[in-house]
Amino acid sequence: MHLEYKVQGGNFSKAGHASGEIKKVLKQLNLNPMVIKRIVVALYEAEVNIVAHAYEGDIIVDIDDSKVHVVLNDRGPGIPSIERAMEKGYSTASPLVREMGFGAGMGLPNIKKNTDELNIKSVVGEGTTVDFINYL
Amino acid sequence: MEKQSPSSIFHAIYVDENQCIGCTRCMKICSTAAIRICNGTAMISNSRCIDCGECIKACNFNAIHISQGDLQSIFKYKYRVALIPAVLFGQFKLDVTHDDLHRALLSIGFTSVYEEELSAEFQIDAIRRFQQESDIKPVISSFCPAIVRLIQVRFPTLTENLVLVKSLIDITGLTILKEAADKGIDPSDVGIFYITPCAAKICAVVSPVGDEKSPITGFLNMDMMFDRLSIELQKIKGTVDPSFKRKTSLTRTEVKWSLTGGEIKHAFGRKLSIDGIANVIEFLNKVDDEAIDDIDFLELRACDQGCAGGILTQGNRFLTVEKLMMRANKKAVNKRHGPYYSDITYDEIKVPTVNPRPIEGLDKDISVAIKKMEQKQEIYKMLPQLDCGCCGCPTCEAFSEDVVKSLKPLSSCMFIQVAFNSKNDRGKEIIRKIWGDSKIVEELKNKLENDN
Ligand SMILES: Nc1ncnc2c1ncn2[C@@H]1O[C@H](COP(=O)(O)OP(=O)(O)OP(=O)(O)O)[C@@H](O)[C@H]1O
Ligand code: SF4
Ligand code: SF4
Ligand SMILES: [Mg+2]
Repeated sequence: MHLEYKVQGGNFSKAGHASGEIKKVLKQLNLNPMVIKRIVVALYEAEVNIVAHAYEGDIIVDIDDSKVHVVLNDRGPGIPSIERAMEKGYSTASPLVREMGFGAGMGLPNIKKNTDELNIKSVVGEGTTVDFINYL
Repeated sequence: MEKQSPSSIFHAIYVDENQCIGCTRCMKICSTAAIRICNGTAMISNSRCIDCGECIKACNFNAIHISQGDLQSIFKYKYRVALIPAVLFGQFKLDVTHDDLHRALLSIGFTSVYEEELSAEFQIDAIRRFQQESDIKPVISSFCPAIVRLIQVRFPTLTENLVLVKSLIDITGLTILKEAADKGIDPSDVGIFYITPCAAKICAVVSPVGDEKSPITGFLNMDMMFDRLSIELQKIKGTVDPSFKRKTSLTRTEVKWSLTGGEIKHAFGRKLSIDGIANVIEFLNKVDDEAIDDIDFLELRACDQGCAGGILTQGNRFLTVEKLMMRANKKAVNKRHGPYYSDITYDEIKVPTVNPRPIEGLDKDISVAIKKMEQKQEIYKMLPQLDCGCCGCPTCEAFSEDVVKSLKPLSSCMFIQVAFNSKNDRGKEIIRKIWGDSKIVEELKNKLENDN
């Protein structure tokens, strides 16, 4: 099963919308609730990262009976050092974004914690791809 | 994960088929999509209903009822205990005293009276222990049985956030049995009857979640008891009974416990109290999506204003709150520290676990569920997406789900029918007039034919 969603950078009032929609689908597939919980947390953090740090992006979800595969592609500034970005507490969030309650630098570490396989690719000035798999 | 079979779930809410005209009001309000209209009457799903009572409030035909307790059944017992929630006081005028109410209950036929909230201190202790012993956030109060059931069915992952403790009704019930045992009374001679403000608490008494059995014998509906007590209070008015001495009284905390904000000040850390089922769902969705972990405690109540808004209460909920606050703030309020009866251990009031009972799954087998999900999305796209309810389902989404589960034929949708009946030009014209060209009729038919 294949799902696609668009995400707009900077649109904080809609942040989490795609994750919510995907959660609704996952709940109907009779997956273990704890598996759903992990996927939704990772998805939410990755979606918010597009909203907070990039210009626009899309979310592609593929589900079969053994795994959920999620790819988040964005057009944006990219991440210069993925290693640093993965550190707990590291954040380049603008004061405005912090004002809205984001920017603790916990998003990527949370994604790591809640996924079985995680692959991040980024080109500075072009964009970032966050690719993760959770097994069922 | 252990699942109860749906047929074993007790419900206190039922539809009176003679009164129900299938108007769909209840179906649209239900927060777990538990209602469908079939053969002209509302049908409530056993596995989905959480006994919140919202459908009763929505019904204009008095067609949804709550199980009735029988006052005569108390007389089967030698010792007849009335177990009353503090909101019962809030139903009466302020000049009705605590003594008056106890005397009225005794003259109806009870042999003693206890208040549900007498064991609130045990709950405070349990909440705090739960907060300290786990790193779960937010910890969620298990006071309101409708909320516990809501979490079981719609937010299954949050069942582990619920405080694992018996209900106040059960802890106080235990108190009553222990006091009786202390006096050498045979427990089989004791009948404890809870005067309930809502349907959810009937379920909690008849089949407590996560616990085998309740020490409570039965329940009596508060609306019926209000009428009965009013008569008795009228008789008592102005009289004195020198032999009467009230045994129990409530502290300020206990009086306010069941109202919105009643529990919250006793929990640690950052905390919120949220009442009203729609508000609760909005917030739990947020907790579920974002893994909110900087809120320590949630006090959640299905009814607006907490139990003052219970479906079986008589008075206006805002006035009930005001009256209870007046009572709580009186100087005469009890200053007791700790629970009324303290000889109960933490082990006796713990419950092992609250099972998740997710309702959303399309099939047990994941690959079948995935196929059904794809079909469901295809069907949904064909529907007018007006959520009109004429098919007997609350939304077009619910209808598409019922179709893939083979519970309803696609032709139950009026729009699909008109689209397929080429002779029904008048029908098409009407639909076009109301909803415009794009919504349906030829377009829908084309879409359907292309898809086949
Ligand atoms: N999609 C992205 N595009 C560009 N930069 C990103 C993207 N995702 C993450 N980053 C960079 O990585 C840093 C760390 O991300 P992380 O999600 O861990 O924290 P945060 O978003 O700053 O704060 P939080 O997620 O706790 O609200 C970000 O501050 C940002 O510099
Ligand atoms: S009691 Fe609540 S959950 Fe049950 S059918 Fe009525 S509205 Fe739905
Ligand atoms: S808030 Fe109180 S009255 Fe309302 S459903 Fe919950 S327990 Fe019953
Ligand atoms: Mg982030």
